[in-house]
Amino acid sequence: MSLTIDAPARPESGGSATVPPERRRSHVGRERSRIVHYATWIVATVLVVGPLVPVVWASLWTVPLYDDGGSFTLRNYRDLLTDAAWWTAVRNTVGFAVLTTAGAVALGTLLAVLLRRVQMPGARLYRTLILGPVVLPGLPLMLGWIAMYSPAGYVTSWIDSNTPLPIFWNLYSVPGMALVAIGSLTPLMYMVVGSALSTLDSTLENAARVNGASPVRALFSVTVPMLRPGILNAGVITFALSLEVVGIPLLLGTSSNIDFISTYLVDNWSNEFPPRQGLVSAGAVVLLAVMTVLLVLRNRFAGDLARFTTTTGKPTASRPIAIGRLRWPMTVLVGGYFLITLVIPAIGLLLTAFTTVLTPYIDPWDVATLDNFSTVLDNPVFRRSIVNSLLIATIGGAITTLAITTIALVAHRSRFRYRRSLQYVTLYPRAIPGIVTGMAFFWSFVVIDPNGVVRSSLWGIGIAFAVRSLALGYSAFYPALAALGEDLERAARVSGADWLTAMRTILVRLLRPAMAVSYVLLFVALFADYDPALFMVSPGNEVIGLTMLNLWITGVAGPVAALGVVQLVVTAVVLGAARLVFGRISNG
Amino acid sequence: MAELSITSLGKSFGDVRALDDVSIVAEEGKLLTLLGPSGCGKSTTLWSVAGLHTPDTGAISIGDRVVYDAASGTEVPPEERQCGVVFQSYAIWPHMSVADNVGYPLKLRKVAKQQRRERVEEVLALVELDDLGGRYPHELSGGQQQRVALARALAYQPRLLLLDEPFSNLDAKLRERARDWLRDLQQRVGITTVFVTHDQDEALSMSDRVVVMNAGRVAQIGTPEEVYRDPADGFVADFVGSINLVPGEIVGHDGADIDFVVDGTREAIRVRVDGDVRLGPGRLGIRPETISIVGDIDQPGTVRGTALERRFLGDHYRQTIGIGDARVAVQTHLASIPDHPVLRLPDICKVFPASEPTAESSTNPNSLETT
Ligand SMILES: Nc1ncnc2c1ncn2[C@@H]1O[C@H](COP(=O)(O)OP(=O)(O)O)[C@@H](O)[C@H]1O
Ligand SMILES: [Mg+2]
Repeated sequence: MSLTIDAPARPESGGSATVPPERRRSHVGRERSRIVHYATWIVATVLVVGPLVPVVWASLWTVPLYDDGGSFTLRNYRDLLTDAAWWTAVRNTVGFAVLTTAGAVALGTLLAVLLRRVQMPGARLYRTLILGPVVLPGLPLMLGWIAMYSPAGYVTSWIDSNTPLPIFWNLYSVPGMALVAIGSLTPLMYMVVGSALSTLDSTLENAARVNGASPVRALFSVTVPMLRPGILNAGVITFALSLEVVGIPLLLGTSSNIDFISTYLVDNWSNEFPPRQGLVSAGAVVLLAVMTVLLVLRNRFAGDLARFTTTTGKPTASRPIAIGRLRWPMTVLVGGYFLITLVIPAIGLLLTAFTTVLTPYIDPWDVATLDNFSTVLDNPVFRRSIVNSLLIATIGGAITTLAITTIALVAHRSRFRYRRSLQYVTLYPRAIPGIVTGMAFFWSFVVIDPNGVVRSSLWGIGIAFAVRSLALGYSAFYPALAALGEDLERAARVSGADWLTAMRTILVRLLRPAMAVSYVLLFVALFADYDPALFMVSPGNEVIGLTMLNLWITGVAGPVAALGVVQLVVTAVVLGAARLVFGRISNG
Repeated sequence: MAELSITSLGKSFGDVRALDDVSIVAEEGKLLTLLGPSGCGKSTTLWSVAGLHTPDTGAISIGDRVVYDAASGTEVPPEERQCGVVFQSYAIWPHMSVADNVGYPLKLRKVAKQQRRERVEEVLALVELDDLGGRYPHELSGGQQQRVALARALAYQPRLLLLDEPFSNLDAKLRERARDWLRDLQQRVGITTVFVTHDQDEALSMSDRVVVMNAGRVAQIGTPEEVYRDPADGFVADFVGSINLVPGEIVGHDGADIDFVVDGTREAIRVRVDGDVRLGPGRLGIRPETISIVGDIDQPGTVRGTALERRFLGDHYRQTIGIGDARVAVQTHLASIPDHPVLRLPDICKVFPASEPTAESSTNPNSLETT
């Protein structure tokens, strides 16, 4: 072992290559890191919590905030709580939410157990298929449901005229709307329960089997009961999502005058004259309070971010259970589920988009057309919607990804005093219903931007969408950050890097793949979102989802379906390209 | 001259008292080792020095600069402390080449490109990685990664070199070589070094001074010989090397000679002890290699036992001999011994109080209970 070079003990004693003596570096590094910490915290808090202030204010004020004067009042709340229509809407919404929760959680749990723990032909295909409705925009498929299963729909009419079977469903009712919601929420519940399932220790199940329990019995007596926390968590999520739905009641409730909380608020805002904006704000505050309670409840059930870190541990290599001959009827049953909830509605959407009229009495080939697509391209509203949504998705997705990265680094990798609160601020938008976000930003812009410059530009809607997507992007991003050892940045710090430099040169570089995955997910979410736009839309800043909703209600089916197809195709292309580039998209 | 001095450092994590009144002084150019079982607060001490943890109380100064002082609220951030740190995980940045990793601290200090390249080459040569500058971390073996971490820590000529269990991820053979190599390098470079380990062999063979820590406190500070030959308490005795702590009672004494009755026996053994003597229950500390098996019971300091177990450990045998209730380990070169051998205890033994924490409850790989 030969050492030819003696490195000096001290900077001043010199080496063959000289390093300048350590500068007493000023406090620049410390200061600028602090500035970034505070700026991040202030911006995030202002954007997430800030807009809620004017909503509360508007609900407690006698006149709309854009009018002068006014004084404090509780009348809006009294009006709301004494309005019979409000209580009808609450009853409808709660009934709908209960049915949806029961159905989606039961089906989601069943599918999670069947597809992940049971040997069944086609399980791999099913596991891929079920991801579709989670990542693809939900509205086009919902239109496919209506085209097929509504009272005048293709399937309904066909069964009615060609079979003696009774039509026991009616989509234009509360249980009917719950059916549609179950169809769209079950895949999400499958994922929530499925991730709980994969963190379960399979040794307990094996222990039951060693003790003589049959595989199926072990599954139902050990595994399913242990899933209870996961199921409870899934239940709260579905219930909360059902309370805030807008699309379903607008599409299916309008014709039969079934109001939900969301449509009650929208109606009183835009269809009453004069608009009852104080009352609507009061309703929004009540809804927000309920959702907040539900979020707190959910965090009790599932330690919020801990959930993500435990799943990065060792994968439990439990083998699926053999169920013998039963596997054939099971696979047919599951196949039937996909046929009814996915394949037939998708066909319905395509048929609507590619025909002039869709009914079982006319051969679709006779009425096949591409007119609907040329309408989409020619009509300025459709065209603007596509361009606007693409702009929001690409630019908003990029800005939101950067914001989430910054927030996550400050919240988890700094010693900033308020770092914990920053995490809660980022996750809170999950509890804010989309229409409340929209209303919140509407009022905020009324207060800070009375001339409506931002509000009428795409930035207004874009910011609202971005804030709403923070929690989603954050949950996709966080596991990658948690998996990076803290020694990496500690090594940079002791090498002489201030916090900001350590983050920039080490962590951000290493997190690039996670940022890319977040970007793709945010792109997809922003491209499909429409709830907040209900209160913010004005001619010129339409977005795809809302345009589809508004025009479908007025009876324009073909071009709207064509727009839906465009939305699906763009999303699928982006996801497919991302898959090619990154090997595979996140497991989400 | 003291290059590093730690004064009355205290730190709690919630209810866990990670550091309790820790005071340590490291002399310039010397290698100081923090030795103790896992969880005793070694890393917390090291990180407090580097500025990666904020202690609750106490003070730290490096050279003439106070880098932490709870009383005055002084806290210098890690980037200004000039400590080169080698982490247990190495923490080599996977997205940078070896040369970029090593050059990073220099780049931050705005060293000109040419000088930077020269210095990186110089340091890589120092750690014998001359030709690997262009490689990426995943193309290196564990031992090479560890040397890259060392090169990076030394690149900008820091005042202190801090190493947190740097060898724990190497296999046994490599570890022994790395030990000699690092010691050699440290002495050549002459940098003040604080080395953390839970391995007593490492600590004894490398250090100028050893700080034995136990449950957040300093149990003893001394040269390797001092902590081995004259342990301050039963914990140190047990953790550093292996020792028999034979329970019994001191029934009488005559100056430094005591009469010790092992629990479960009746006859007293007369041995000479070091330190204060107090009548009553106590534990006699005897290292296995200091006991010999003799033929004659009549000498002072001998006792007859019962052979219970024999284990072959390569260069010696470890015999377990029952004396009353105690099981005493004896190191011999004899393959076979009588069923009731006579043990001769060393000329001078040490007595420890009857009950105090020992390393047995923690994870000492050298504890007799596990060998
Ligand atoms: N970040 C932390 N949060 C909570 N407890 C900690 C943290 N770091 C260390 N501890 C606790 O402090 C004690 C000392 O830890 P450490 O200094 O890492 O021990 P060592 O390096 O000697 O193994 C342990 O009980 C450990 O659990
Ligand atoms: Mg440690």
